[in-house]
Amino acid sequence: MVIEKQGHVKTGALNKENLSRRDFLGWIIQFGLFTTLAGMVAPALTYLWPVTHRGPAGGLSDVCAEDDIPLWGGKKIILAGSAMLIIRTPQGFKAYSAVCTHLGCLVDWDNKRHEIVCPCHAGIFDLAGKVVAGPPPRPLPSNEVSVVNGRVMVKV
Amino acid sequence: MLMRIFLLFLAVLLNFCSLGQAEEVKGNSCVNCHSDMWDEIKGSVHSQQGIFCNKCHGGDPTQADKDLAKAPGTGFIGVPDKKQTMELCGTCHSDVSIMNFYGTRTDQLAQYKTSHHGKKLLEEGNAKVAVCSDCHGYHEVLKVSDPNSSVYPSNLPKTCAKCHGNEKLMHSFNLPSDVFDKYKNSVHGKALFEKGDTAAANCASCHGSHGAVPPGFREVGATCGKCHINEKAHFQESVHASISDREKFSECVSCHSNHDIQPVSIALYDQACSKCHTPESDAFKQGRQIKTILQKAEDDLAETRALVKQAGIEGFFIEEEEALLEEAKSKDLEMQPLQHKLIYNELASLSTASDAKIKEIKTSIEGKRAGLKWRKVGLIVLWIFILIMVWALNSEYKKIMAEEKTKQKNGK
Repeated sequence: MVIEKQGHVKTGALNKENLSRRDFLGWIIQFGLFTTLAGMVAPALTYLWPVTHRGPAGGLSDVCAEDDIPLWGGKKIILAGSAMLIIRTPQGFKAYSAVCTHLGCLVDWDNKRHEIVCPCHAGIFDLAGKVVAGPPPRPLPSNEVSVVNGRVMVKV
Repeated sequence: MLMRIFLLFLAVLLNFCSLGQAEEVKGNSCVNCHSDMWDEIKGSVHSQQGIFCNKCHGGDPTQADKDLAKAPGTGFIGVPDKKQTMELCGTCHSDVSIMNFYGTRTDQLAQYKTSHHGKKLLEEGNAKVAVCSDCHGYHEVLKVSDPNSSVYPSNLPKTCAKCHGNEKLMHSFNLPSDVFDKYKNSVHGKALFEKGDTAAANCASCHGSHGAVPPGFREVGATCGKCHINEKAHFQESVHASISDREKFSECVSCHSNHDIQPVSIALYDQACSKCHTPESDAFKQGRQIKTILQKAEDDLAETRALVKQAGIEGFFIEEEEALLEEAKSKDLEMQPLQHKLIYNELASLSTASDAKIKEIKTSIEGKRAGLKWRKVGLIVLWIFILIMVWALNSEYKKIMAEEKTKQKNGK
């Protein structure tokens, strides 16, 4: 800045071109320095800023509100790149991979029979995700579910 | 200390058990001459339950003299013939009071009598047919669940092929002898022998075991439908179902064949439909329509799967697209059993649902690629700015140095 001011004072109308060039250089340098400083300060401020809306910790994902699924109801969601089936029973919520272990069709929840049914090859799984009938070779993988403040959280 | 007591107890117990068996052999004079057979019997399920030679062959094993052991009145029959074998096995195996303890069914003999094997033996006296010992073995009978058993699922086709692969024997019954070779190369045979999937259909799955008969026209659908439940259910709603009722069309077999069933392929529409329908017929044209929609769904899915894979290679996060791909794949898989209904519109609705997911995937990946393009432009702008900064700082540095030199000269 001193240099710039000196330039203004010392140079006359004849050196207008040099002056504007110097101003331009000064502006570029100031902007560059400011951008660099902002890049350093911003993460520090983010870290210091009080957390008011933090997401669930421990690998939990908020999938829906508790009331979104009625008793003995089911809901299919997409989580961590795969389909998942959330079921509400009187004992609580259960979460299973919605991908059938036979050929990979997406399974459906049959709320009347209380069974998980694969529409492709008639595979049937019980409430514990175990194979009851049909060709699936393995049970459906399950995920841990918890309810926090009325929100259904699934551990991925 | 506890471990030592336990090991001592175990040793005493094992010794006691082996003593018991040794006594059994000691009191069994048959073994004196037939020691080679004892080697076969001792590992069998029968010897483990105290069932020895005389239960099937008769005789008195307590007699040391072989003539006395086989004397009249001892019930000695020597090697039982096929009919005797069937009856001897049935003595215990059809007796609920004996078999109940082992949780074994007792209807095997009754089933055998209804089988083609049983009928040939009992009604025609044909002793070339199989009885219990032909499949289960005689001295070395093992539990069905034992992988070494001749009737364990992975061994059963070879056991059946002992007779059904014998050209001379099968010729005498006017039956084909290439069944095993066909089965071995079928989708079921490959699943059993190559993948070791013991749940795959073997001979007994379709023909039955003790009551083995070839499924007739009416029974084929029910036989295949035991495993292929949805295919059977959809087939029942197709135009072909009523034909099969008239026994003109053998449900599954007419298109898929029986022993040499190959993995499902859309090409089957080219091979199977023309067996009954002329290319000019409406039915054939409907078949082509169905084939086209299935082919399109298969191609689109393969193309989208490759697109998602490529996006992953390019460095994009593709979790959402993979989940959508699962949904599209699921719709395509649903089309496979549904095609047995032969209703175009129902397949088209699944295809539309799959197309919607595929479109979503393509839009998402296109968006990500466009975003990458803009980020590259931004990077170029940033590089230009950095270069200008370098130039500006260098110019300032030179000016300051020049001014310093001027000051030093003026000072001097």
